[in-house]
Amino acid sequence: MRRPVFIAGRGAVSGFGLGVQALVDGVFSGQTALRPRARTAEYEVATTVVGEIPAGTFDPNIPENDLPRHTALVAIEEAFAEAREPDRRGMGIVLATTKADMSGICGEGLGLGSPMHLARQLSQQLELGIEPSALSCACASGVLGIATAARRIATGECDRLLVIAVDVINEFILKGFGGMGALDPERCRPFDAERRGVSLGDGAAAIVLSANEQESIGIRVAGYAGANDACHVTGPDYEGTGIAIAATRAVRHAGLTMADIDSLQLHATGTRANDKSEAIGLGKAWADVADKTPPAFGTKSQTGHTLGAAGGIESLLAIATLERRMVPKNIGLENCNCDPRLDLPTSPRQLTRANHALKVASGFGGVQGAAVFSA
Amino acid sequence: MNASILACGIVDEVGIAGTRGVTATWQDLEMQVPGTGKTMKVLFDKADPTFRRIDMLARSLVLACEAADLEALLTPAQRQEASICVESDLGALATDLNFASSLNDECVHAGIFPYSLTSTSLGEVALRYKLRGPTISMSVRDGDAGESLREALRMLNCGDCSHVVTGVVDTLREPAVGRPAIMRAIVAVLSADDPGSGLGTLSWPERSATNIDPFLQFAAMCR
Repeated sequence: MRRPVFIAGRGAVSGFGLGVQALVDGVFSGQTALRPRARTAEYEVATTVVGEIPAGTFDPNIPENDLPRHTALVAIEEAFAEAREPDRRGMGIVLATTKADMSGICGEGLGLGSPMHLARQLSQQLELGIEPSALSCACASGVLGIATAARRIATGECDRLLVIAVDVINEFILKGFGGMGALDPERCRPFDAERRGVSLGDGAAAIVLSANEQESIGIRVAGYAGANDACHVTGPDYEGTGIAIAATRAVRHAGLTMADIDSLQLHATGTRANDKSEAIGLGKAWADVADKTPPAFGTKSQTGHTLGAAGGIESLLAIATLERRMVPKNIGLENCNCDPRLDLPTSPRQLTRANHALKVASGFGGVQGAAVFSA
Repeated sequence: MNASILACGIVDEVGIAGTRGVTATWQDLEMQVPGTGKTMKVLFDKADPTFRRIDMLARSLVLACEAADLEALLTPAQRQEASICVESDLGALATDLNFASSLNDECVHAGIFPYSLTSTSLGEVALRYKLRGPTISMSVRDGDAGESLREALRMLNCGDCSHVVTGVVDTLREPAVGRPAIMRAIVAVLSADDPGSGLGTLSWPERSATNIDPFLQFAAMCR
């Protein structure tokens, strides 16, 4: 029998600054944290904006390679506070990231792009009693990190785990996406006919999961699943097969049907291929129960694409739709040219029912992840 | 928490071997580790026009899966539900260093950038065998070996998938940034425990302070 998994605490750092409140308020009020590049201004890439953590948030003398650790620690501190400072001896960390600390590859240091290196650092610094785990599943890392941690709690292996999803943009990442021609020169516009690519951003999301309902903030991780497009390593399946499989598996895992889902938090990168296939896949996933999906929203035009952190940060926003009984508008979307079955509000939408939110994510390697959060 | 081991495959600096019959050394094959554009044809009589362009990590994983005869082992329906969960200590270090060396060039090595993520190499396996279950790339450091096996056992035990391709992959052609050269990809195909079926049973690999390599049992099954 699977034990229920509850959310006990949340923390975030994003382009909106410190805290979940700043993130949620910023997104739901229609603001964007995509600003002219400052910390990363020296890197020659074909985009003017990124979602950097605001200047002044951290000591400017902190090396860029060490920013993921600092960013994670601040998010964790907030999550632990909401979770009423849980016993750390009975807690472990599941780190979700793409590259974590790039020291040793870019500049001096021992990070070597190893997620486990950062996980161990954080675990030791926080004096957590359970050995850390780390995964790198591209831009689906955050969602799959939640799934990995939830599975351990569900099986009874442990009672409490901390998921930390983090990535901080750097020259390596900016030039990588730039070299692939994947960056929008200006602010990205997911699902818009004029979209030209992705905007990147910094971010961290910390989520404390618990088996104890008394520790819950009133939200549980009801279902989770992964899938693979099995089609192409950097481009999506044009039928959106993988993301549809992940979404339907997660909903089934939650013991629900697609008709039960009240809000949908999208991957929505702003690339032509991703948005087109995501709309087709999710449109098909709901086709048996409705003409349209539940109200769906993407937030990378507000936070930037925070890569391994995205699944964590955007899961917090999916949860916020249940708490606020509202789906925010899709910023940057003026003229949609994607599958019309994907319901993309261009103004905030009140929810008449707010019980279950679905978050989906995709990444290089055809990796897909999905999670259902229930009130 | 146990699972049945259905098949194994290994690619290392010596050669390639698998429980479904293939055994060859790179020396005998007169090929560079881990194979060239002709390797799939020579060893498995298969055409794989994109094998040549993929990185060492992906090549070694794909070949290890071929040595386990993954395509014949599982039906298309089983592969549709099968997961791949592989761990790595070095991750994509070789590709990272290669890409980083181009950062000051007029054009970066954009073609290899996606392979700076280990999950991309797992994706190369998933797309070849149409593995549409969860794709999980675990990161480990010395002494953590077995994370992928524990996660595979959890997924099977929870019923989150029916079969898991699990294992370890680390490739670094020459010593770099203080890490020694290494070449190994070891995979095992697991199913929910069915006593008496398969090659044996995988038990929960405890974290070990003695650095016992939990993948050696699979390697031993191959050779």
